[in-house]
Amino acid sequence: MQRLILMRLFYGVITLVIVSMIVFILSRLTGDPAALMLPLDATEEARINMTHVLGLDKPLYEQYWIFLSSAVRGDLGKSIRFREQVGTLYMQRLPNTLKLAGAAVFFVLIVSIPLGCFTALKKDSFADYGSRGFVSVGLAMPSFWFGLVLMQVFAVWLRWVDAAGMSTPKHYILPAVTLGLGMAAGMTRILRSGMIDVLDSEFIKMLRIKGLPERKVTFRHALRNAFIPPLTILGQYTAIILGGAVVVEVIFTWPGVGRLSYEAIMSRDFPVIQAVVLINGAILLFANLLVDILYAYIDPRIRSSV
Amino acid sequence: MSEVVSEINTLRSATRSSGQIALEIKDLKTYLYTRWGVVKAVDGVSLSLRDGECLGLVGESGCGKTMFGLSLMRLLPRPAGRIVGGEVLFNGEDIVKKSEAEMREIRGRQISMVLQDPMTALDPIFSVGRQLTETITISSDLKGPALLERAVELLRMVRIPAPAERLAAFPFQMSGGMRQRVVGAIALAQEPRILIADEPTTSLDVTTQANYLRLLKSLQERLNLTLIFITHDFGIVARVCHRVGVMYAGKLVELGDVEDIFDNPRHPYTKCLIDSVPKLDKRVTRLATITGQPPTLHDLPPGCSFRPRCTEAGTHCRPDQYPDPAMVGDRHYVRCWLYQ
Ligand SMILES: Nc1ncnc2c1ncn2[C@@H]1O[C@H](COP(=O)(O)OP(=O)(O)OP(=O)(O)O)[C@@H](O)[C@H]1O
Ligand SMILES: [Mg+2]
Repeated sequence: MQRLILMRLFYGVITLVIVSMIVFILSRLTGDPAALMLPLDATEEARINMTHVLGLDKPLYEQYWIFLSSAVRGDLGKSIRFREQVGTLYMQRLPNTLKLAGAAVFFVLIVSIPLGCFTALKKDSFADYGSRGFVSVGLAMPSFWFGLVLMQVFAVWLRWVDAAGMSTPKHYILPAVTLGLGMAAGMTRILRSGMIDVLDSEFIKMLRIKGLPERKVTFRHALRNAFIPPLTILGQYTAIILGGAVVVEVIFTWPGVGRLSYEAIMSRDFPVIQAVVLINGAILLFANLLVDILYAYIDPRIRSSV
Repeated sequence: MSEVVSEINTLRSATRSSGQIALEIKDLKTYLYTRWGVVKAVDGVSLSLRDGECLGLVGESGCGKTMFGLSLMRLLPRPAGRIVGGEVLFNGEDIVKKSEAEMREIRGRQISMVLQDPMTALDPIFSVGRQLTETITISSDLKGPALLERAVELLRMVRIPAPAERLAAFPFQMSGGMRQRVVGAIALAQEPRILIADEPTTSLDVTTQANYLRLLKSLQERLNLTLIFITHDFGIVARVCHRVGVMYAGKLVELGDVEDIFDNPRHPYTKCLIDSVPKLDKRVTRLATITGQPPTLHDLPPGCSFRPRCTEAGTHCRPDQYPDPAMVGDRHYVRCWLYQ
């Protein structure tokens, strides 16, 4: 187990270094940061001066080394737009994204687990057909459109919730549902087919033979077995949301990481974009590691094979 | 191997079928409603079992043996399987009419079953100990050390070495033979009166098979179990069972004491099955095989379903009707036109 974690961390660091290189090179390709930071009518001399101040006249490998070593120390540079440390900026936004992600994952779980289980138990019933409809629609619906529809209906017409802001728990409902819909649909589908497979297996029959109550057969045994495959997907989805649900955060003016990246891209704020990409990479890797640990926790076969 | 066989043989004669009636099955019909038609998996089977008796149920693949066993547990594949007729009397009550909640009281505690494939009959993500204790607590209030002690005792009963250490093991860490023993321990954990063993040895190697049979046999005697032993191997039946029923296409075509059936098989199908048993004393014998395929169990014509493959078929075989059971000896009946 410890070996698995160490191995994963090792590979994770290598992956992050590669990601940082790509980010570094790409951001050099998009243009001269010095030109962006200066007024349009700046002199050539001022530009050279600025280039020197920013260290852009140094060889590329040296620039990369400076970038990497300060990134490791937590210094990701200064935002061009906000004139503030990128790290500080990011940390201001992260809690908001975390809260939204938590709400969305909660929504996903409370929808997909009961729906996946129930429809697997009542295969080919009306509820099953209904749920399959929900799954298709949920997977097909683009979130920008769904979010706008929800906003129109529940905020504008019915006035049940406010369209923007995050001051009360009620504000979480629309963005979390928008964000979670596709995920909930996907999870429901995978859980349903997983449950159907597991419920058909011999060991479930054996549990019934020994007279175990159906509730325990379903939840203690079938669900735990069926939950192994969707776990990966849940982990990835969560990581993606944590990286910033750009569309949803923009629609609902949610001051999270996604909105930060949107703003950074719109104003060509390269240090921020670089930092967000790097941190998202790290989050994704960490989420995958977490899923692996959870896997090993649920499935003894994996625990012993590593 | 042959030592084992002779030991089993002596074991077999040790108990005789003289107890109370444990289970009485009358004209049981189990149909499967599939997309391709109605499969008459069990079609009018009648028999009764006494306490401590071992009945062998033999027949080719697909003749409905497993469906017969599952019918007694009322655990037919859903939604296709249904018991459409007949009675299964247990303690004077008809199991067929019981509610699902009442059945749960019977399953495991009164009637239990060991499934065909030991490799998949255990939950892969629960330890053996957990699966055992879970079973024990279904019908008892044992807790803590006493519960664990009972689990160890069960593992010891199925002769698993170092049982206390084995509690923490997971199914994938055990061999097929071990797993089958664990499944046996689980099936017997609540001390049922009747055990249905559905081909419990098919996936095991010969030595493991013999060991398992010996174990099953000794447990049957110690616990005075009524055993329904499902197999397609007449050889095993001869070694373990008191009585044997021969199934063909959902029907019980011959039923009698093992000695009677072996010495004097009446149904042409039974004769074929007995001829196909490898003789242990004569090393090299060609196995006789039955020509033709067993029929698929839907849309069967009304007459005897073995007729197309039967070597003794003739004008006496009426095509419009299935032959009724005819007594051909003491507790020995056969369904064949030859004896009508
Ligand atoms: N889940 C199912 N749905 C539909 N038909 C089934 C199902 N399971 C079994 N059958 C059919 O029921 C009939 C009886 O099957 P059963 O499993 O009882 O045979 P068996 O005698 O146990 O065979 P084997 O020796 O291969 O285990 C077969 O014709 C089979 O095709
Ligand atoms: Mg079978």
